Amino acid sequence: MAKILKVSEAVMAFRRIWHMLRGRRRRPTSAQMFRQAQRLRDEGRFEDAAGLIESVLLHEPGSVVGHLLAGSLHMTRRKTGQARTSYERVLALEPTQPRALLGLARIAIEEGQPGPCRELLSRALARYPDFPEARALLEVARGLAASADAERAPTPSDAIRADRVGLPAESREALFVRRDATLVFATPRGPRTEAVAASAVKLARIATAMLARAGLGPLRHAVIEGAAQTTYLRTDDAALLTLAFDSDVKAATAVTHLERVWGSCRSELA
Amino acid sequence: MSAAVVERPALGRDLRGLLAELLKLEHVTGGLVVAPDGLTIAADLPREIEAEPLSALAATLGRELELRGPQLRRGTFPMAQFASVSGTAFLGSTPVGFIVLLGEPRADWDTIRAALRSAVGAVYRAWAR
Repeated sequence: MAKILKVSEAVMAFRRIWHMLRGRRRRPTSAQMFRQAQRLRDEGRFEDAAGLIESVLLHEPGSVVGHLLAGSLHMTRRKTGQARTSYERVLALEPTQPRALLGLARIAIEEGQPGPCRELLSRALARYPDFPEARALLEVARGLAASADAERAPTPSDAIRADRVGLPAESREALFVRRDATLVFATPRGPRTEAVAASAVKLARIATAMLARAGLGPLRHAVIEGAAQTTYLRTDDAALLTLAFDSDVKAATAVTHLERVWGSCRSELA
Repeated sequence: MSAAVVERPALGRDLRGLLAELLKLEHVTGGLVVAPDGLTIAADLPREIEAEPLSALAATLGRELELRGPQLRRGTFPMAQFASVSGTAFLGSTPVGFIVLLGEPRADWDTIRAALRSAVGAVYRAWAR
């Protein structure tokens, strides 16, 4: 009897060891690894998360979830080129994958290409009409594309002279532009001034769309803090003014200047 | 609020907790935290506001500011605010995404900016470890 028990214990022990070894050897499933990658991402361990996803994709290069996670992670790390590659791989596997289309559309809008952005979002919405993020971004892309296509009003560069609107001495940069991105004046003016004007109008369009989605009205004022300067923006449906001040200029002072110059600019433009 | 965030850098890891603290500010009606790819991390908004489209646009705006800023200068922007006659949206940039706060017209901009600046700093410190 005692011998039988000993044999039985030995068998049990063997089974336990066998299960332990099998457990150790068993590779986690890709789903488990993706969950782990998401946990690492949530903990801010972006490099570890990216490494884990990469290792899964080595074994499963056709994993749509893997490429989507990789794209999202690249965007979080602000690695736009790598994100684009990941999203394009998803679309090669699943041509109407909505998150990949949205990801590429976001990259297109970042790169100032509202036309391709609109096309990608339209594809996503044709397949998934109930996609509020895509719909919101499409509204912005349409506005930006219309603005890019529009004939700009022929405004002579001296339509308003900067010295007539009383720019404050503390102002480092000033820009007055129509909402169709036609530059009215800029101080100082350089080879990139037209691009700066277009950028400011784009920014105002996106901000207006965001405010609308937040249940607020159209953009009227903005304050953007930079490393060394703060930019104050004033706008309405027709024009946009920005004044940049050194960061040590008090906000109240800057806003007073902004309102005064804005009043002068609008009077001159009328 | 700002002092609390500074004294508790671990709060910078808990983005939901951080947002909850910011929502205690007077005349702040809602807010969210969104990843740079537009995915909502945390949101507490008035019922009539949909989180996903607002997140998508906030991330787009945040990226635009990170990439160009109003003067086309590449680099980080710590914070920005966008006001209409009906209220103001505040946007803070962090390594993990953007914090958005919505304020009523009577909200004290200086107080909210100071609290948001402190929160952004807490996230930077916590996620840099």
